Amino acid sequence: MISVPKTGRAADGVLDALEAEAIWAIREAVAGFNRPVILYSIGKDSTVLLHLAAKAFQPSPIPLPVLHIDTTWKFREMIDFREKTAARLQLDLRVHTNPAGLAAGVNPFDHGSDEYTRIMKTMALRQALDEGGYDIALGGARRDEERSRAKERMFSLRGPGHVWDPSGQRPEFWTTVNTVLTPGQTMRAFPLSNWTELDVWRYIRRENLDVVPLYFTDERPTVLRQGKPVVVDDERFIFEPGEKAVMRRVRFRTLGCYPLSAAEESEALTVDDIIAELATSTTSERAGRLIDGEGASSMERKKLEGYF
Amino acid sequence: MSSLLLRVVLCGAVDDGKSTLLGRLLFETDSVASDEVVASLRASATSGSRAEPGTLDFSLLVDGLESEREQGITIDVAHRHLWLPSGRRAILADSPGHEQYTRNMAVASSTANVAVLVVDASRGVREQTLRHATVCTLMGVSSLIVAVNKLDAVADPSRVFADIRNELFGRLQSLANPGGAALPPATITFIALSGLRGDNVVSPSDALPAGDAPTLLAALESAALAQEAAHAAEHEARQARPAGAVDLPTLRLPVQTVIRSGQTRRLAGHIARGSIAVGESISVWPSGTNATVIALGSPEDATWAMAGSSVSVELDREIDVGRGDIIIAATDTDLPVSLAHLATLVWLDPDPLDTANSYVLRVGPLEVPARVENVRFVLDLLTGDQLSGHPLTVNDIGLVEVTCDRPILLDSYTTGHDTGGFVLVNRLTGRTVAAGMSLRPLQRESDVTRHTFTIDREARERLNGIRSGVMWLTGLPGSGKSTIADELERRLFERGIRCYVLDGDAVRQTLSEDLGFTPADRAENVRRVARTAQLMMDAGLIVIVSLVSPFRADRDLAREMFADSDFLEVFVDTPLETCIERDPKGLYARAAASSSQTQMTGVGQGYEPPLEPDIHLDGRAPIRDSVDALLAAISRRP
Repeated sequence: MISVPKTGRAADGVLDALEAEAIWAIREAVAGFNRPVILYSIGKDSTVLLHLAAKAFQPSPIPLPVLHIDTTWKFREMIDFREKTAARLQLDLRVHTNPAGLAAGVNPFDHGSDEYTRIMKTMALRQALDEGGYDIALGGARRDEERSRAKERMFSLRGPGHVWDPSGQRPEFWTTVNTVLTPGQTMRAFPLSNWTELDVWRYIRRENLDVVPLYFTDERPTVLRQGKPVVVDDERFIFEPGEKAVMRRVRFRTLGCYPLSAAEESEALTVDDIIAELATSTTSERAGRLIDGEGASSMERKKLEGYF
Repeated sequence: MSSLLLRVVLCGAVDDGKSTLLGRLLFETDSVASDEVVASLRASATSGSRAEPGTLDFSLLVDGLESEREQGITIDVAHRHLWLPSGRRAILADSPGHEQYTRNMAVASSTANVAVLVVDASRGVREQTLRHATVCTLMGVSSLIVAVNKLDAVADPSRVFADIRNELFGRLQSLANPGGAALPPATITFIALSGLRGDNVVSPSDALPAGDAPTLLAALESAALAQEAAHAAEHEARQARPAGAVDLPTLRLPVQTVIRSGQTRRLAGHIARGSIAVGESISVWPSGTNATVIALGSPEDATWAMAGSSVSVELDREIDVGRGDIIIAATDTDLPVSLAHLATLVWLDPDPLDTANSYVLRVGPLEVPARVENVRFVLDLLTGDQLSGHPLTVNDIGLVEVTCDRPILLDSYTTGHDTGGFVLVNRLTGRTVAAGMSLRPLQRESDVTRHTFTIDREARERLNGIRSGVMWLTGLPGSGKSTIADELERRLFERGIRCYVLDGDAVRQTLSEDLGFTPADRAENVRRVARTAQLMMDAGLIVIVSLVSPFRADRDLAREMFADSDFLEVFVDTPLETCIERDPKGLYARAAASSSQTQMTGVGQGYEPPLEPDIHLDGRAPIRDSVDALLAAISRRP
């Protein structure tokens, strides 16, 4: 066993190469298809993706709509950040919530993370993509996030109903993308496929990008769930009997719906601190998502149904 | 193309231990998170793993799909990041060993700089070993590391290692390399190791014979170093070049898209070869127009940029350029442009090559209909024999002649992967059926001897006083196409404009008298009508095509034969009930009366309405209004 410093030698050169590859993919997705859309989740990867999309088409504004699937359970600071970003980049922002789920009051406390995710995220995404008639959706997913993502192409085909067929993926060669879609097929593109979590943060530092403040440590009201601190973001939080919020110094490595996102105790106050922390971290980013806890393959199963 | 991202493909026959070796490599370099290790340990205990209970099955760290873990095999490529001791990073693509998944292995090797070919010492060199070695060579992998694995399980490791080394080294030297399509790897390194025990993977071991590098990790580290050095040298050479010096004419910048902002236009793309600088003279293929670069975004303002950069280029003048065009050096006059190209093809699709079929050929953003007209030979991977008269089926590698509908610029693959490698797509299934690597353009007798006549279309258009073109009316039988075509022709004729109606019924009795109404025959009918319309347009006429042409793919094929501004698709949109009611030729009545299966559009076969017709007519509107709309569209053309 050897210990490797994950500092990234020749770091800027690697970031340049990753940036060039991502811009190539974004341009190909926009120019090679009819109705492209960016899926925006407000997190750090989405922040980088939007920044790259702006770079890809400058001096023009981003020439495609940006879609946020709002489960209504995102952190308030995320929604603030979304509005600020949309104004700053003059985004054509479209927000979609599953109306049936909203009417039925589907929430992560009463319905369980699996059912909640299926209705408020997967179904909502499928509705929004169908309604918009989008033939390609760009997302900020990376291959180092999770094992089934490591298997996915940069341009990843979806069959009718947005399903992913992992054993029948389209071959992908050089810088040539097969843009032919037969009826019912759509494409997903992941320009950040080859980035690592550390690359994302080093790029955020290099490009001086703003991110949601939740990534930095602060005193936050928390309760423990599955042994991990969960932040109580608003009055809808349902406490266990006798449970009370406790202030802890925590930050988030990954952001999602607040009842399903575990924070971690940290002293990282700046991007530099985060990079230093990650260089010695031994856990994966997704360890903080309570949503994945049901089994090693739960992400794969969600993706088969059309989850991003 | 040099880049600082080292890309490694891990390949070899099934069960030779690739996933276990990769898992070991990731684990021992601390490249895998602890919660993933825990999850894999849990899976080791419950799945069909062959590892001892309580020990870690390294293969489970990388086989990411449920079906893969259940079956204990790798189906598709997994991309993992490996941290090298120097702090450099490599992207490792673990590829499947099964023959049926060769296409996925080919994908992983197409962008790899380094291949690690795993050979099971107890089984020796197998057909799939040679197949993978051949694919790696064809795809242009520059450095090959042969990992002779499972040496802990053989009686005499030194002798077995030496035997495999000798056999494979000989094979690699003479490795079938059809027609010089590829250069053999610049370096070949043999390593004796055991993925299961970890010998010579990350830490050297005395238990096994010494290879060309102490460990697999050390071999990867030196490949990364070599790549970094090459990249730095290229960069320095470019930087040291005096301003105004003429670059070797190697530039290839395929245009992905044109960015417009106010008065400025920027051509955006990814530099495939060479470099580009502000002040340089460039030319655009195919138009041949020259211009000078006045600004360069890479993506921020820059004075020059090299291969591997995504750039946007502003020119000193407005020239005609669009997606799929290629920016080249103005000094570059010897371009590999031709209708036909000789290429090595790796066939990926379960359906074999159909030499009569028109596929979509793609090189980067460039797209053109193409046929594979001749298979010169298919390679026998075991013997290296070149088999002629053999069909090209899944996982076959062959040498072929590809003929495009118009001349294209296709580099030889050895000079540029991004502009010399192409894919073929079946337009009906949407599947990528083959990956091709060009050797050279072919000059065909029939192509080059086509006489250039003095009087051309432009001259005829000047004489006629109007730009010729094609109006393609599609719609259900009885929708009113012929009536509208007739009235349109009359109105044009009144104005002294030369025109002609190509009517479906007339064509069926003459040009296509041998064809029936199956989807294949309909496709051929559409092709013939389009070709005829093309000739008539060239003769200077306004051609009005009136044809049911029910299938979108057929109409798209017709449209592709024309420039955008020469072809207007007109959808005569009339509800089926109205058509049945009108039934001017009694066709619907006859179809309804016939007891057998009918091929009548709207009854037995479907009609696929155009998604984005240039003109959408309501078939129930007065004829005069429809014709007015068409006349307006004709005069609106550029």
